[in-house]
Amino acid sequence: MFEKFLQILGHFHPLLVHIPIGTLVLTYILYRFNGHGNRRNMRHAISTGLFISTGAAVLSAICGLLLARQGGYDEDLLSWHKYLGFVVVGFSLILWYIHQDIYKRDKTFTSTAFRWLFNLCMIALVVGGHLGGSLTHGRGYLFKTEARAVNSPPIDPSTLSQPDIGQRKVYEEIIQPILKDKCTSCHNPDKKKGDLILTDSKGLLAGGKNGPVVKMGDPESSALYTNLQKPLEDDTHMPPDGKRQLTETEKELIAWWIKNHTSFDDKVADFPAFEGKLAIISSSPGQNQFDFDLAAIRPADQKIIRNLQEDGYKIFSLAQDIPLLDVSLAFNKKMDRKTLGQLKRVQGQVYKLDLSHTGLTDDLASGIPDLPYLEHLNLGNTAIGDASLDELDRFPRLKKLNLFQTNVGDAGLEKLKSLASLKQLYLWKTKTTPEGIEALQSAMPGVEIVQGINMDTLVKMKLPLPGIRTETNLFNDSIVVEMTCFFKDAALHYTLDGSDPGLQSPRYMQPLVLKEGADIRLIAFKDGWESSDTATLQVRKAGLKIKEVSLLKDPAKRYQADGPGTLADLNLGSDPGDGKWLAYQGEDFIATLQLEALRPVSKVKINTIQNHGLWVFYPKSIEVELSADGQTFQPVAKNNYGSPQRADKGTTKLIEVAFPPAQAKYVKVILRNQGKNPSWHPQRGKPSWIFCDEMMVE
Amino acid sequence: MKGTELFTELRIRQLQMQTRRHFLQKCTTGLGALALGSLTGCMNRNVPGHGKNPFATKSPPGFAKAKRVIYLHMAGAPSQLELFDYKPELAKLDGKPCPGSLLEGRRFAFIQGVPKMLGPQYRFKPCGQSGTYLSELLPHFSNVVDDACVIKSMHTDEFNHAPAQLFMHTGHGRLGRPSMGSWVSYGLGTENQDLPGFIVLVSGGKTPDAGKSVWGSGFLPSVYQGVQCRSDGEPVLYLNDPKGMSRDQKGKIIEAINKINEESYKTFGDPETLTRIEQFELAYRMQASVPEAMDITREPASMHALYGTTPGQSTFANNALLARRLAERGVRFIQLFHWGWDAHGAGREEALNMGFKDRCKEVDRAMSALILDLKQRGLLEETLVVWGGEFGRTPMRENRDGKVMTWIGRDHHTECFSIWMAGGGIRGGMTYGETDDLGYFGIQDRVHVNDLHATMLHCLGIDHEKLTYSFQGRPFRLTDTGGKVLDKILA
Repeated sequence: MFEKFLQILGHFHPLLVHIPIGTLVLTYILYRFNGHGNRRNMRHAISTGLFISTGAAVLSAICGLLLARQGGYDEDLLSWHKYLGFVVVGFSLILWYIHQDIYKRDKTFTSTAFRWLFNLCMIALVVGGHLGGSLTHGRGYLFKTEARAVNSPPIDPSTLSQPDIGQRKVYEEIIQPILKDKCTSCHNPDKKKGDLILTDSKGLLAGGKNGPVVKMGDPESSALYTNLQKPLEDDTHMPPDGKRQLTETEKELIAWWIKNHTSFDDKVADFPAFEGKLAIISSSPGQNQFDFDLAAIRPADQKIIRNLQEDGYKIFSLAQDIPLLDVSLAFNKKMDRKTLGQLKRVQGQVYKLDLSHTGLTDDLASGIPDLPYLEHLNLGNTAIGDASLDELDRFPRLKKLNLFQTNVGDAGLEKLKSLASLKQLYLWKTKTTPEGIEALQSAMPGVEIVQGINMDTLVKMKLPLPGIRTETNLFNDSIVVEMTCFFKDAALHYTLDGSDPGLQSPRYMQPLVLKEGADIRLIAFKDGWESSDTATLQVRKAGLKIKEVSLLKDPAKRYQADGPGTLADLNLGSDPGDGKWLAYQGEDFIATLQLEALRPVSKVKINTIQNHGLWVFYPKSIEVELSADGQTFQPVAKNNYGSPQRADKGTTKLIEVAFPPAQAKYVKVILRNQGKNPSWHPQRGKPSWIFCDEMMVE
Repeated sequence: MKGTELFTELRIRQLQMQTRRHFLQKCTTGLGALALGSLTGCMNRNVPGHGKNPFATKSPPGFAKAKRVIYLHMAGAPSQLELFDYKPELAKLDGKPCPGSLLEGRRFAFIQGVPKMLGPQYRFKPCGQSGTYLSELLPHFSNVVDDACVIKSMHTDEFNHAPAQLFMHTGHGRLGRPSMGSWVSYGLGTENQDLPGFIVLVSGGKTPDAGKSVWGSGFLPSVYQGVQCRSDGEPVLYLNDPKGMSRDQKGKIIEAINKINEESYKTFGDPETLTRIEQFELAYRMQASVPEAMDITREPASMHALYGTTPGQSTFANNALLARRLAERGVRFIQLFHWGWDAHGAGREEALNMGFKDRCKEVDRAMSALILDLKQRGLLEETLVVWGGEFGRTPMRENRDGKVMTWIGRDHHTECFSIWMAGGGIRGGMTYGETDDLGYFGIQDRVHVNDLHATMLHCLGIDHEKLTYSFQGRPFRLTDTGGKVLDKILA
């Protein structure tokens, strides 16, 4: 426990050591640039500076000694650093003492000894500090620059499979650069963490304080490899948490080397091929992506690329240092011989070409120039047919060909057989037959042929709900009903009597003209689909035309809708809040309807609503009175409906009141309010509402 | 009354004493700090591509397998134990109290005390040639599982929705960082100059808990933020010309405004002015291209049958079909959000035995159709599709307030969850990573969110350590200080 504490204390050395460096330099400056500290007001500052420097120097020296005990440092460097450290501690102590002494006696401050002592102290500080730096960062760190660090370019592992790499040395040109990059900042002759040196083959074989680190031929028993594989939290995992870690590929390369090592002069060709994944190490494109020499391809002129872009081409290079181009005219409206001819200017660079979703035809396709490096060609969703496939032999490297939604047929497939490098072929929605494709597949077994989706593997989908459209759902004389479905070719079957429609029901062909009210139900059918849900709509005949509506009292402020005329606007509401209702709270609903002329009248229909939560109930009773002049009204009907029932949750309800036919121009309708919420209601006794949105007279 | 007047008088006198000298004297620190801030790069003028079209197509730095990404985010975090991570051992422990070792020192969003273990709620079977285990809730996905790589050992740092969604999309659990799509369109531009480079489609009736920051541009120029398009009604609000204004007139107006803005940019050099100019021009081009691209009614009936779309609604299926249309047209990053996966069991809609099934139905067919459709068009190879939530769910049944709940649900869990990737650059038909027998911890090939981001960028030809942006004095990246490319899942 105590040992551990001392170790941690040792780790404070690099922190503490900077304090005396800073304060000593500051004190020195104050001393030298103020007439050797002769000014009285400076003396105190210098005294304090020396005091703090001495204290901090002592502390950091103690920590330094504790750190040195842990070992792993170059002995030579360490002892010099140590002695110079002591010198600084000692000198600053003496300087402080002298200064205090002089200060106390208030002598003039000219001691030559003091000055020289201070100069020496600074020299010791600078040299000692430099040595400390060398201990931490390695010898020669001060003057090392990036250019010197990389003196032999290592092999890019992604090029390992290339023949000219075979004679290069595995250890020197692959493994050592990895070690140098990730390991030697600690395991070098100056620092020697764990007594291990990885800067050369000798140190590697010698191993560290825990014995040898490599057992040639067996990576799993070599600490050099196994320590890389331990979890990051493990103390023996290398490099320690926080340092730059080896990539997966680098780890695999090390295993590959240990497994196959015979001598440090082994060449790549002596080893079995490296099987690890190489993609990671070079996310920059390797030569290995292409089976031709990239260096032979001249990059296209930027000016030409810009010209093509102005012509509507989307064009960019595959990667920043690959000269090959990805070129596309997909969805381009302009497609003519001249535009296609522009391709000739980049014909030595085109690697991918996308002409899909354009007005490409067989005739235009013959205008595509020879493209020696073209590997991916997309002609999908164009009007080309078999004739265009004759052009394909001008693209000798073609690997992926997309012909979906074209007029290519079996005859065209025959022509594809000559494409030696073809790997993938897309034939969805072409005029080819299964037999033709099968013949092609057996002739070219290496080609992956992608056809359309087999929809049988998917569950059938339900058709979307069809729509029933009318101008209103109330009409005076007749109404036009239109029926729609998202799919124009779906069969729509309907009924008008509220029964469930089926295939035997009449089929909708053209808009219906209805003269009577109806319960319309509609269902859609289509091959390959599950039939839709049933759409419903009720239309009602409104009866006589109402010229004007007058109310005895203004309705409640919140429910005034569009004024009294709302009762005759042929527009039914569905929800108390939808702004189509007139309502009274605690009062009766009394309205007078004026007809256009004196007419025989026998029935009144009233649309009303019930909603317990909003205290809205159907009328308790309805009274109808008739008049010819609008002055004297004759009661003709009174229907009682009683109190609302709890079970009747309520919705809109069209109430009809019939009476013996009589001539009238004015019809007064009185809807008696329930008055108070019924006894079963949670808010019993509170004034209840009455709602009405439409009144009709027949 | 007298008192108030005195105070007013006093205040006026005090103010009169304040001179300009006072102001300068008192503000030295603040002004100094402001100056220092701008010196150290807070106001970063060295934006790459500064003064050029920010969306110009840029070649990827490395060889790219994928040209674009379709990211399907399941907001609310679907349960991996009901979909991808088959745990027969957990079934045996169903209803038994959770071992204390799993609870020690852990915090959960809702679980209290000792919860009961909860076995898988649905049957699993091996699917496809790869034999990947899938739950019966994903019948359609079993048709395409050989094209996908299921990662079972994802883990994250955040255990609440908003921070976890931010973490998943921006690589950081707090606000202020750019989202994946922003990074990608910043790095690669967009292929189609007439459409935004980063489009967002939302379904499920709610935007993600983390809000629109999950497609924000953070400290990147705001031109790179995602553009949300609606699949119902006008795709982009306020894009249409007002009545009585012709397209030519609009063009002239934009030209004039942009000239003024260019003057302003020359004077002040604020990169946001460039953003403004670019956005006006893009909006003008989009007026013609967006309605066409976003109109799924142009698709034939067979496509609707395949995806299960309902035109005119904001469903995941509609958005999946749209995603394919946009991918075809060269949009760089297409981000879908589908909300409603937070199956705690606190209500019908968020119960594993109820609403969760509906969610699966909503996405299963559409996401499988997306892969099939991309494949038959030859697009899958160059389009990276990623599906996943923001974290996982516990192998224990949630016991909110320490009670047995009516519905069955699981709590938030960060230690492991499942996602899948398919297409551009990804090896199909494989499972990566393993979890323990209870589905509690990832035990093999654990994948951090940073690793996922690094891998996605790798597929797009970008080294995640090199795509950086200097802000407030230091370079930032999507993976910040972490991230390791998962080379084993690369094709």
